[in-house]
Amino acid sequence: MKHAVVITACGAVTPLGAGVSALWDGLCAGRCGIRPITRFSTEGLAFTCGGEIGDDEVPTTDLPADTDRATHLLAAAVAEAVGDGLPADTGLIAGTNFGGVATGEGLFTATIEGGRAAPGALREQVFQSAVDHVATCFNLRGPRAVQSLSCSSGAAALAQAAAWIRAGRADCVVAGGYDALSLFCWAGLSALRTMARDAVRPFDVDRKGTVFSEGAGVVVLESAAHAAARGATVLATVQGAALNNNAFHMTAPCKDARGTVEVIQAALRAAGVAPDTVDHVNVHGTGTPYNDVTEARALHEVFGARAAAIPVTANKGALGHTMGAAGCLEAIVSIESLRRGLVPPTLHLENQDPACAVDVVTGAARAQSLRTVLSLSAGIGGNNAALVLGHAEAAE
Amino acid sequence: MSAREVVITGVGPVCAWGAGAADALAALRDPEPLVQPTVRFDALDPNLRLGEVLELDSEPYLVGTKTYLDRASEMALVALGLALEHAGLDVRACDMARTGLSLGTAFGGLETMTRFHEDVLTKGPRFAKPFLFPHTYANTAASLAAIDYGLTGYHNSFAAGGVSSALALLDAVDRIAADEADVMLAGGYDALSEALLTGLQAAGRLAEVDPEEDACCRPYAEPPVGLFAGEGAAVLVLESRAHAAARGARVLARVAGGDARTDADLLWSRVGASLAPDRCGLLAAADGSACDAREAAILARLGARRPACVSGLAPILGQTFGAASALQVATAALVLDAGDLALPPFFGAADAVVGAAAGDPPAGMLCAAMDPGGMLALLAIARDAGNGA
Repeated sequence: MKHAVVITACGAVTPLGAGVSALWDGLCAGRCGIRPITRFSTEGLAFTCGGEIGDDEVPTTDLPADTDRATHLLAAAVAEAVGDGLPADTGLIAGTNFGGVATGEGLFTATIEGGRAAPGALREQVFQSAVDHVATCFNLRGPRAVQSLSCSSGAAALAQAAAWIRAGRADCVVAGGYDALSLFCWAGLSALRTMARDAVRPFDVDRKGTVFSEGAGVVVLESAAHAAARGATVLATVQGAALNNNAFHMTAPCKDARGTVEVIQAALRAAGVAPDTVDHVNVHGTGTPYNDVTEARALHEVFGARAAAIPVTANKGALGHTMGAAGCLEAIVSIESLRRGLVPPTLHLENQDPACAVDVVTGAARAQSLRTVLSLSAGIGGNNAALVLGHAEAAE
Repeated sequence: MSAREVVITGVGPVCAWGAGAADALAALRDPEPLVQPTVRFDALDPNLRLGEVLELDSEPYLVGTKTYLDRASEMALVALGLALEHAGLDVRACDMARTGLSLGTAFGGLETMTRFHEDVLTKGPRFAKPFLFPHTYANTAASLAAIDYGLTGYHNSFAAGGVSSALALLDAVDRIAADEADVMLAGGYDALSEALLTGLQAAGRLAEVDPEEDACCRPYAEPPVGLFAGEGAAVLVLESRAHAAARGARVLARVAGGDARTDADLLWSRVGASLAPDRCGLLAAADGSACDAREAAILARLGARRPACVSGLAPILGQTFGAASALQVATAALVLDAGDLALPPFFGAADAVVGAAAGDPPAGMLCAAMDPGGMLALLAIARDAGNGA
């Protein structure tokens, strides 16, 4: 007998502001979080705008001062989700692309120059240290882990938390994703030639690429019994999840969409629901020429004729691509959509590419009664993740 | 969750012992500490003593031509190839919807990260070599493995420090036990690099070595003397018993239990009971670092539940970080399958903690992992009733 898994709280820090409300309100109002980067010198770089979050926009926590900035983003999101506290045996799983690489840059420089690294440089570079710091800060003494599955990491963390709960390894887990902008990741992502200069235009015929951002998002997952026992309000249910790999190429997308199709089908199987029950898709929607057409193709293959009628949204138009945080932030938006019966619009879509024939919500948020939402993520190395989220009433 | 039995049918260890089950078995029959003066990093510090993987012949185990490969990924891919060969499994013929991959690493492509960063510093960010960047991800090895073997099914990658490969193995066990997979390829890897050693030195985690003395790892020493770093990889082929039986695979050992948490007493109460302590051995996590005191305290509290024999691999192979658990479990599977092997001595370990030396061949083995940040893992591996011993 599988444990039913529910979501009882969320937390977010994004280029649209701190808090889930700022994220939701910003998306629905059509605000854009992309701005010129100031955190590191962009001299000599072709791309100089990103979804940067000012230090004064990140709520402070009790983390040690020398903790990497990415961990501070994670902690701020966890602070919102934890609220007044969670049971001490709560676990923590985070997904990230780059972890504490901003601090790691100092270690690399010391290595190259033959100098002495800061004592904590390696510790901050090790991804696991983020969850150790944050768990200590919030007294979360359950099992903890970091997953790194490129830009599907945030969704993968939710899938892993649900798996731990279903396997009886934990009753309650805070799970999500985080990443911060740094010169290392910016130089590398620029080199991949997938970036646009100013904005992400999902599904637009003139889309040029993605714009990377920073942020963190987490949700609290619990077994339904655990949530009921402590009187927690259920926001949504995790009906199913799946992770897979295209097994095709490290950086090029698999244009036949096979991996995306299979991860959706696996998640629906895990959820025990038929494709025709899905009434909204929060897509990965990076605004790269290949991603969007591949994703649209996958939706048509899975949903058939219904694909053109299922409301779709891509949050990266407003947020930019928050890397390891993206999968969780988009899950949080999906949860809010389920709760509010609203699908937020996709920013910067003006002329939809006819090769992406899906019903993309634009302009204003669309009212829609929602019971089951599919949230999709993907990342470098061919990683795919799919989450099937259900209305809170599905837990009853 | 159904209670499907999970068995180990192949192991691919890569470490200071060499590469493959045969090298590991030969070393287990004549165990000795292999932490030696450095060969590859003497320019960094000639006094370093490491558990290095030397003379790795990766060519037979790499699929296709690789224009670039980080050393960590290279060891992971070799370990995967060795494990498949040892299991006699043609993974490409498997049902990919029922076949998965789960790997763990503490440091990922740290060497390539440093190379890429050097490009950024010296040439400018616009002129850093694009082909290096995809090899800096913690999931690079897992992605390359998926590409090489067409693994389109379940896919996971942990970056959880010293418990990375333990979590990957537990993930694999859960997938099979829950009837979501029939075959899981799981393990971990980490490579030595200048950046890793520079970081460990700066953090004061490496043992101070007097070049005039025959330095060795001192598990449970008080005060702790620091660790000796090693490198390696290990991938295991895990299958449901039914799947292994259907293809006539030799079962090396059975996974009897496992968990990962921060509460040591809860962990041991959940997992330790999977095996009878009087016929059970422990491959401890102790590596000479400050973390050892925690494990020593657990062992002291176990009382009658303490395994009959305590040993560890860190004095032999060095601390292999993300590979450590997978190397332990691979070792356990080989020892249990052989039937006539006792645990290797826990070289350098404090007698007051370890107790009696290695005795009879164990009927089961506990494999302990520990991360300095507080996470612990314990996997219980049992001799399989179906094998000869």
